[in-house]
Amino acid sequence: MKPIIEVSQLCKNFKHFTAVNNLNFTVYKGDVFGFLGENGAGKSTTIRMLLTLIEPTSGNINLFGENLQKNRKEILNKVGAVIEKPDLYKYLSAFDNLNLFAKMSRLKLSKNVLLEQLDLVGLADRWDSKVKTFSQGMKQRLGIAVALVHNPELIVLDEPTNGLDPQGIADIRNLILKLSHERGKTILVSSHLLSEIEIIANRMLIMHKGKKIVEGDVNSLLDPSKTIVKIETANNQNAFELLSNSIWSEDLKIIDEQILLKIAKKDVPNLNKFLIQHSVDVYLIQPLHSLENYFLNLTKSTAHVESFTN
Amino acid sequence: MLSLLQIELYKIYRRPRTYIAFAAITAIVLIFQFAFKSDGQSYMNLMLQNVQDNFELDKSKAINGYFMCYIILNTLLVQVPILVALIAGDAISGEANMGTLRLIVTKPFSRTQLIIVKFLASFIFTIILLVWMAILALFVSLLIFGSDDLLIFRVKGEESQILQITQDDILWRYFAAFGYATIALTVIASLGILLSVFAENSIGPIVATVCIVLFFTIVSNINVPIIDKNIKPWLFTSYLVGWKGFFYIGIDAEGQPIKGSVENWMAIRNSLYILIAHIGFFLGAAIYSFRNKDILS
Repeated sequence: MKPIIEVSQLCKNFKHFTAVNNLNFTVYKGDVFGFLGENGAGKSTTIRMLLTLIEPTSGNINLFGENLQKNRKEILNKVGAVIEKPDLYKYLSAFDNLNLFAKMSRLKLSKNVLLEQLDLVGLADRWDSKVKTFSQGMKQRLGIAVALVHNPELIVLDEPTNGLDPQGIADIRNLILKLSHERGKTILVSSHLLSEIEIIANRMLIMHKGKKIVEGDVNSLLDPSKTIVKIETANNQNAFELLSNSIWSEDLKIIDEQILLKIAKKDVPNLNKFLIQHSVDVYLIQPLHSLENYFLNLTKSTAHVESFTN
Repeated sequence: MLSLLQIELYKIYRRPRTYIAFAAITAIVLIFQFAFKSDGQSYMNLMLQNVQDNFELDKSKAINGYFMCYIILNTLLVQVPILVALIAGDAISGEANMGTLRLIVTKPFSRTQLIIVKFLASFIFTIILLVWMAILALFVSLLIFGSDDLLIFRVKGEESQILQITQDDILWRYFAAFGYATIALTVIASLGILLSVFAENSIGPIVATVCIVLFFTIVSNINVPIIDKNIKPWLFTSYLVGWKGFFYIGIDAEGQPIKGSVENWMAIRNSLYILIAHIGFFLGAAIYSFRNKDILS
């Protein structure tokens, strides 16, 4: 696969702290690459270095196989970006904003082409409205239209669902999937909404305090041989004692009166049968090992999951 | 570069704030013209009270279109820097404030190009502002008050002077004066752009630019020998009113004005060099700072 983004030994030091520390990762053509981390993990700083907004302290960034610093103009012509809030010229209409940014990319696009772009993000009917009248979701979609106006090969979206309502989040998610599947774009999308990345990304990287924790295929990272399930019964204490004498006793814990059991996914039905056969009234068997828990575990932010890994 | 400049000019053209400057100039000039049309003679009596014993003047002819333009320029060219600062001080910081700076900087042109384009757009805005001022202050005044010889009242050393310039020798002086004023105001524009590089809101650099100009102007007007000699030559504001030099007509040995001449070409030329050097310095500093700036806004 052809690498689109190659980052090696990237560091960024500000006066009093290191925002990005020896970061390495690769994004391949066609990837929807999820960039995960808590606020302050270094995601935005990394993205800003990818877009030449911030000068790296050290390290190397290659985009499309070329050094970013040496071939900045040529590379940026193939990149579209929405960086945090999609701030545009509020006193101009959606159409004028799009036209203006097209011209900045040295493009003279016809009205029809620009309207098609607005249609792609669902703003064709508001093409002549000033941006100051737009909702946050509409601004976000217009920001994406601006990022796409010069038909870039790589799209960088920094926290694109920030501040959006559930419908807005769903719209952006669908748009990203559409751009990936129908237009073959390579997309780097950062978020702290982990469930979003789980749905849209095929590969991901998790950052914590400026460092990479893990990088890889989303499916393989989220398909461990075992999962953690939470069990709720009519009498948790009795169920815990019952399970303590079963084949699952080694991976059993009770924390804050919640039964947590590390178990192979294929054995979850057997667990249910076992409890029922021993006259336990089962209210709930819930797998906890979602991407969110995986992430929280890796960044050591949750005592529950951590207790299994220690 | 040209398309970028067109974009910048388009943005200035579409911003409501741009028209504040034009509205302010229009209002002030019209008030001046109305006041002088209604009661200009009182002003002339006040101006001539110290010299009327030595001169025979037809006061009704003294207030004419050329004279009005001179009076308006004297007043407005102190205020116009504020209007230029409104645009230039907003050049980079306004983009940072709106959040569009990070989008612009990811477009395929260099940061140096962006600063140069912002500077050129401010320069063109300054020219258009001065052309508008010239139309109102000179041509509209000529329509309202008619034309005649221009009388300039001047204090030189400890004596008051009245310089008379014949009407066929005036127009070129106004063109030269407006040209000079363009360079002088471009210094303000480049200072505004430099300060706007460091800020993430528009108010800071606009206020800072105005404060610097006001502070330096006040110091430039303190007529104490030690300041005249040691401080004023280093303040760009000392040269902002150098346009007046075009109206200080040269005088021959018999005390008669020499048509087409100015008293001190060298002073005007040197002032222009100093102003242009300031533009170069402020612009260079703005480019250097912006190229090395991390865009965090």
